[in-house]
Amino acid sequence: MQRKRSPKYARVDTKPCVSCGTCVLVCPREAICVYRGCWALVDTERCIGCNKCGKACPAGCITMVRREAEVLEKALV
Amino acid sequence: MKKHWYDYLWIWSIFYFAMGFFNILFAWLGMIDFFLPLALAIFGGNKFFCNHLCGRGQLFLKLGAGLKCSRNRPTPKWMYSTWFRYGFLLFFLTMFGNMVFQTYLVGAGASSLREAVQFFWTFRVPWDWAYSAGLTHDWVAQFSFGFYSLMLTSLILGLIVMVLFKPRSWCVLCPMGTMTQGVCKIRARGKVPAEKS
Repeated sequence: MQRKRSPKYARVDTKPCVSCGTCVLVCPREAICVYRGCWALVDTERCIGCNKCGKACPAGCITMVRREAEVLEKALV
Repeated sequence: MKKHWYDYLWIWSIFYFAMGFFNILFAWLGMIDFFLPLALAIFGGNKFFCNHLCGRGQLFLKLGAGLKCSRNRPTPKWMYSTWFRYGFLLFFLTMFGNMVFQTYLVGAGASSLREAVQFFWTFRVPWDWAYSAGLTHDWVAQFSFGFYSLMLTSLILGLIVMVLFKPRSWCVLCPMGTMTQGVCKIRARGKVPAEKS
């Protein structure tokens, strides 16, 4: 049975991200990691949009976006 | 999430400060917190220390989130701006350099050992019970006092921002975090997509 995707997912603003890894510690789905020590990176397929990372992030660089936005972003790239 | 041995390093953080209270020479162990993050960043190209090994970060999370000591307010934007982070790093390195210079003066016999811990690089508190004269070279003890002062100051700063803002707000200020992220970004240049807002 195909898992239903959550309506939202986490998006990281990489500029203010201090790559502290707090988001990694609080994520219940291991859907976020710190990529090469530079900034946090979200696995949008695993992300359930719970916003635990957003609430914990000390730099306030994680926001929840709707999955329609993801499709639009890919179309624009 | 599965627990690892390094998830309990917040205990080490408490132990370090407790040991330094009774015997200042234990302060030297804090050099692990200085060299290991840099080594992992330079040779490993990652921030494994910050992300998993930092006992202080774990302690702030335990106190702030676990014991609800944090107000959980957003950290001010200026605090995690590039200029403030690198400015704070420069300031910290300058103070560290000054501390090393004081150690050199004691070692060279140009200054006497000051058995005191300095809070916020300003307030000197006698700490003579933590060292018995003659136990080791004076410069070794002087470095211990200086380094413990630095570690205690940053702990207190971290506790203040933990209470005022988010549990791990210290991470945005932490000079080691700023340095290691800078190293990682230089190492990863060309291998990661450009920063985006």
